[in-house]
Amino acid sequence: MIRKKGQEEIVGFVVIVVIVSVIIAILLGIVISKDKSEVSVESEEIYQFLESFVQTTSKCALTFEPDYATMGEIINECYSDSGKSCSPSNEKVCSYLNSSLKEILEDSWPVGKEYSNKGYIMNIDYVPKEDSISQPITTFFEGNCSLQYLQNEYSLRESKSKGNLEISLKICV
Amino acid sequence: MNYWINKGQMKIQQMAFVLVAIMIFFVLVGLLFITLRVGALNKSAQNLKDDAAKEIVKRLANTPEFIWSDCPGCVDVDKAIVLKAHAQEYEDLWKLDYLAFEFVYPSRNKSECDLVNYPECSTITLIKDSGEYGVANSAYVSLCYWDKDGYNKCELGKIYASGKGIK
Repeated sequence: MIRKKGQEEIVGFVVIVVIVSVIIAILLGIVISKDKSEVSVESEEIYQFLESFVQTTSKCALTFEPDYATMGEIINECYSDSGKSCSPSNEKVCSYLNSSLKEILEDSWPVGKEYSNKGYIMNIDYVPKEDSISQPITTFFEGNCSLQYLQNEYSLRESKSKGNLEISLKICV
Repeated sequence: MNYWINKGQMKIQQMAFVLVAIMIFFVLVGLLFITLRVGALNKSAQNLKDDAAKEIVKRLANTPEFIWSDCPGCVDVDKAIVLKAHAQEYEDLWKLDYLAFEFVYPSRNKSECDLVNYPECSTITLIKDSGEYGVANSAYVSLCYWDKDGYNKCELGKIYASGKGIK
């Protein structure tokens, strides 16, 4: 009688241990799977890159040569007067912006299987005022983007309105 | 007698199960801790890199020897190339083993700058100690100079620094 009772206790105890283990394993699984969900880390390096990028002198003069515009001015012009052409190339400002962006990003953030960075996404949007819907100006991406990336953004004052031009860059790792 | 032997075996079995349960519990807690710690480690590694990058730009780009008055955080490379000949004298002030500026965009042929080939060159190395200086910290910066037409020109560049002054 006493032996049977002891065996029942042991079985009960084993069942409890198994149940607790399963619950903890499920919780652990949830935590790990959460870890694999989108992870975005704000990067000062990206902010410094964007700040330096808008200050970079282009090869496009908007008024006269050799008074070449900065990339920030090119972005502004692409938004406000996309029909305007660069001097001396006669290329449209938005087309010039896209080709320059491609070159700058390729030189600064090489991506691919052999590099630590697997891809990037750059967006330039016009935001009329805070919390309002942004209007995309251009998007640029390269490589493969997983759920883990470094990101930051830089705001430029749009010269003819009260809005901002927001440049955001995600570097996928 | 048989009853006492059975009871003793039962106690041993119970203790064995408790030990197993405790082990499972600690292993699971350990796994949970490691998972959380690795996630936090990624973020703190990024924070360390960011701090170093901020420190470099703050410390060097805003010193009178390099400051470009038209924009904050920009480096006057005209000053840097002149300073190159006297950089060793500043080593104690900056406490650096390595300091260099590199033009990133527009891309140039890889060559060290001197007073003859400047600005048609890619790197200005101001300090390079013969000893080991490890991996230099880097940060993006605008490298500005006056072009031959008298207009200022800024290019995307990088500043590299290593030494006791940058931690």
